[in-house]
Amino acid sequence: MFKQTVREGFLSQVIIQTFGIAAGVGLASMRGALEELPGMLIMVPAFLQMRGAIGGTLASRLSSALHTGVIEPRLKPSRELSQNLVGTFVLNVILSGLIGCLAHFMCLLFGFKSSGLLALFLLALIAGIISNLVIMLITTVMTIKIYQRGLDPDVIMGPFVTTLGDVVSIPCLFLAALILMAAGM
Amino acid sequence: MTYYKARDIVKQGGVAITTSVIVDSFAGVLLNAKMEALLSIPILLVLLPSLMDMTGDIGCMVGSKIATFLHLGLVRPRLEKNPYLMRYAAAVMTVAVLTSLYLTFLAVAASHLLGLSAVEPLKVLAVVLACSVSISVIAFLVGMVAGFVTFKHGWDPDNTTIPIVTAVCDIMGAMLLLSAASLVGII
Repeated sequence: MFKQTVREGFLSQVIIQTFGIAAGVGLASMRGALEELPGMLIMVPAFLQMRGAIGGTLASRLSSALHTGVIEPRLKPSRELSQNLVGTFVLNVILSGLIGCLAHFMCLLFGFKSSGLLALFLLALIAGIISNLVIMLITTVMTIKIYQRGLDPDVIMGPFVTTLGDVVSIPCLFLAALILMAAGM
Repeated sequence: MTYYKARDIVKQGGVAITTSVIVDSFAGVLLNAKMEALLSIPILLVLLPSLMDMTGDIGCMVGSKIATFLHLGLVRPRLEKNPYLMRYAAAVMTVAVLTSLYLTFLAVAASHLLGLSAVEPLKVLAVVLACSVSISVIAFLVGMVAGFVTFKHGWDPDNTTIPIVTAVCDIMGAMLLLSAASLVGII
């Protein structure tokens, strides 16, 4: 198991960190929006964390379900799968809204400038819904495909989903920021 | 009746992820307080998602595997020497060190290509290694406790271990990044 874990773990890290640096370059070039919408930087780690956690727990549940045989390793709709996806989506909507409110609250608490409760709430919600749809689709398809190929999705998917979350989230946050700035918020 | 229920996923995941999101907002506050340093030394912004990722990834690999070990019955939910966990810990540490080397190379190369202000590569490597090695140790300790406690409670550790471990890793990662960077004199 040691060799397999190191090989699969490091290989996936090589791919992931290449994307991670791409996300970093994206973040570095988003410096304008970060200054324009005060409070946005506070929500970045929480948003990336939520994205990774929701995708990661979905992948982790699907891995366990595949290992234990609760879900068949085939791409077809089933009740077990749809319960997983519905739960994931509802959780995402609730948490995205919460993150926006938290960012505003943290600004008040620590005396930073804030863009306002409504702006930060909408920013997180819009970015959250768009990114979640992308992540759910990719996570489900890839976890099942990886299992079909005899690889261990526990080692590959968890890490992959968190980075995928970053790469998808940062443009989504940027997009949501552009929408809000265009709306004059 | 299905084994998975959307309601349980929202409830169990909600508790764990809400906690982690609150913890991570404090990581955001730390970054926001150092926003000017981050904006003026862009290699730190370039490194930030990757480092947060790597720390989160290590947390995920640990959390997800501990959950699977518990489900398969290979690990009992109590603090004792376990060969599966020991071997997995050694493997995760090896992955952390190898990844740090690669990550440093990428960040330095990307900054060079983008023409961002240069920082000595060895200093970047020191920062990245300090973060990844400490995080691996922390991830294991927190992952075991979180997995064991929720499993004993009758909850699915798949829903809880990852969010808890990754949140702890993120806030520690942000703290370690900022303190390692100031220790080697980057900020």
